Amino acid sequence: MYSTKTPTLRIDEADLKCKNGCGFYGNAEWEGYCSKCYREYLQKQRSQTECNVYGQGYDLASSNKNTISAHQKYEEKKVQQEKKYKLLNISFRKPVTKVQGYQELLYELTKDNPDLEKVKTDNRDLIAMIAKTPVERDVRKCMHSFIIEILQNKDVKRIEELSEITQNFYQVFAKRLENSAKYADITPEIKEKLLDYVERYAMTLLYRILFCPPFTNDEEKDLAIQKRIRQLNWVSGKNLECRIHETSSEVRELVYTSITDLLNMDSAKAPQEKLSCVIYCCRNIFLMLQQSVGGPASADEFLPALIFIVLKANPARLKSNINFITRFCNASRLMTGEGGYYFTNLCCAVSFIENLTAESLNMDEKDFNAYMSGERVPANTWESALMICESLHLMCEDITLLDEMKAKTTEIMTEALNLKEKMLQFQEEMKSEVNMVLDKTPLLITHSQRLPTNLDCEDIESYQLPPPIIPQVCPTTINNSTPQNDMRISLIEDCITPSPTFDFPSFIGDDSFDVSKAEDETSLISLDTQSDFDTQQDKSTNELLVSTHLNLPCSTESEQEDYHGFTVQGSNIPTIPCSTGDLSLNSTEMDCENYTSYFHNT
Amino acid sequence: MNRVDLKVVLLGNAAVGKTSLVERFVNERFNESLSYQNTIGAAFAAKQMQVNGKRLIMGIWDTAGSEKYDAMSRIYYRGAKAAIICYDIIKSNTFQRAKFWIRELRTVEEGCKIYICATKNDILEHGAVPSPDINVVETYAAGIQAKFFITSSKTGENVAELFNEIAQDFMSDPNNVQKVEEVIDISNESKGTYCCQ
Ligand SMILES: Nc1nc2c(ncn2[C@@H]2O[C@H](COP(=O)(O)OP(=O)(O)O)[C@@H](O)[C@H]2O)c(=O)[nH]1
Ligand SMILES: [Mg+2]
Repeated sequence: MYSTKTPTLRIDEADLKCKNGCGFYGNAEWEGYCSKCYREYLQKQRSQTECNVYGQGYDLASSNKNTISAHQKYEEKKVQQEKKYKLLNISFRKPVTKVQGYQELLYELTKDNPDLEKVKTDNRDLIAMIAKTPVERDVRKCMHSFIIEILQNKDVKRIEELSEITQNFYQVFAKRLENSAKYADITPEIKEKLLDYVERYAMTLLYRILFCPPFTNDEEKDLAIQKRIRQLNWVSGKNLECRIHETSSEVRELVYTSITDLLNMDSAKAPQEKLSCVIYCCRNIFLMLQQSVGGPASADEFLPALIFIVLKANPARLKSNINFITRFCNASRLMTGEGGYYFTNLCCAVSFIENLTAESLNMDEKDFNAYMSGERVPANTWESALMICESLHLMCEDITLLDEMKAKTTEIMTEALNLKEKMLQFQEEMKSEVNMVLDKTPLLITHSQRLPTNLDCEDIESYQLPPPIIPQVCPTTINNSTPQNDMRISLIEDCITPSPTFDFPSFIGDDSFDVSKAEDETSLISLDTQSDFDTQQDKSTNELLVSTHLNLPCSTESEQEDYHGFTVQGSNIPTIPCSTGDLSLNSTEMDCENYTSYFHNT
Repeated sequence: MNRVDLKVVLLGNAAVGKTSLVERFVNERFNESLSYQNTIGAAFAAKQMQVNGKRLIMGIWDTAGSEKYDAMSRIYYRGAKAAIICYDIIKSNTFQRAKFWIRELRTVEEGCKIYICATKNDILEHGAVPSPDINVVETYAAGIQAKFFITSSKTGENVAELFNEIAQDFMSDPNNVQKVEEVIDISNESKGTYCCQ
């Protein structure tokens, strides 16, 4: 039973605060304002409606076409009036509310009330059982007359009197269930359920009217106790002599659960629902104490623990809720049963908190005052304990996260090692395969091929020229540069790449020209000039050369020795394209593909 | 729903034996090994009882004994029909505290019957001397129209008698009888007990 109760989320505090943002708690009953702001808001509304009275009257008189909206307006006004009365009755009380007033209010309370629908669906079986029987009619009648009585009296009677009316109704109705002939053939269990249903339904319906009504000082008390609890936030479990092992995660969870249970009390509507929130909370405290003490806890451990939970929960509208339960929960339930016991303990806890002194915490007066004024902040406050809990929580989460990350890292590491091994293996394989292929298919020059570079040359004859000559030193070819030879060379030159096509017959002996520099764009120009030199046969000085070949940089004396010369044959070495065996190429390609596919797979 | 007809509160100093008394009465055991105990807490217990052919459920409220909660004890005994005020049979200071609660109850909760209970009677066998003297307490009890029981939770002596007396007294009041439902079938009767459940 305890385990099925899962903690629900705590209501955001902002939702409870006054719409005006004044810092006080608001109330749905006051349209989300706190009592003070609501009063002001109503005042404003009232002055506005007063201004509109003429206009509205005129509207009604002049056009009847808009009757529906007019009716709505009337209703709205009625509601406002109701609220106005409710507020004004602090100063003066209307003896009797108008007859239609409560009918309208009842309609408004019943209409679109999700809580009421929930009560109905929760008791679906019961309603179905008594449907269309005299029992149902009687229950309905009793309930209706009670609700009307409350609505009629809500502005003229004090809350204590309303409580009396309610308790009286419970008693009378219980007696009626026992004694009336109408209920004769109903089992006691069903009677209990009926009693419970009637209480639940009526109280849910009247919740807005009876919970923390503006004509009581409940709200001030709520704020007072809230402030008090906030002031006491330094009180630790040790101060209260309660044995809670805050370091145990199970205990911590139970502390949180019981705090949540207690906080849920404010959102519950019917008094017995609120009471069951208290019961859940207390049962969880017992579970927690059992964990902490190591055995069943008794009242001596329970009360301090409950005080501790109340201090740490600081429930919203605590006093209002307690008062609502005290006033409107069936007294027979509240006085005797388990719920009653726990509720009484809650009241005790609140009373203890209200009257808490240095003595009740076994503390020095001076210390107590120092803590109360906030001068001193003990290390072992619940705030810090909570923070520690929070941090412990975070740490636990982080540890699990780290564990996960560690697992992932090791996984990655093993995979990386795997990959490395695979890569090495692959490398080895590749190497051996390449070697194998190389062994299988040695580099063979199958056929030479000249790459035509001069696209303008369409002379096919050049291809029909004899294969290249094996280079050999032949001084005659250099020196005897006959016109035919020249012609022939130039013919060859046209067909091959220009870079190695230098022919410097006149310079060979002198070693005076740096040919390596001829690789740049000026090579052709230089060639031209060289040919000039050639024809002139002018053995000019270096200085002259430099001056004429302005584009030839660094033609310095130091480089002269480096020149080794070119032979015509050397320059004519054709480019030899080589191709290796096609078979082996294919196989390596396949391997590559396999490898990539391996990566895709992993 | 667990209907409880009669609320009984236990009052007394810490460690005088209140919890043990409830344990003995409700579960008929004393200081037993914790592993046998299936209750999560022993602060509230309800026990079904039978008096003159009528059934009633007694709710027994244990209280925290520490003096710092004395101010709240009023909240506890509100609506109680009976109060068992315990004191340790050999500790006179606990009896002084008992007298304090009796005065409180008399002024605040007039409808509450008072039962004075001297606990741990079994230790007298080992040569301990009751303090105050039993006669003194008896005279005091008679003076305030309270009943006096000398019990031992260890042996179970007088424990059932004490609670039965409370039930009897409750039923003998005609105002209370009306509220208690008649036993429909006595043969079907079982001594049901539930504790904090
Ligand atoms: N010998 C003996 N010891 C008892 C008796 N009743 C209680 N005790 C012991 O008194 C101590 C306090 O009892 P407890 O029931 O916890 O007292 P409480 O604080 O009043 O609830 C425990 O160690 C019990 O074992 C009794 O009848 N006889
Ligand atoms: Mg105890």
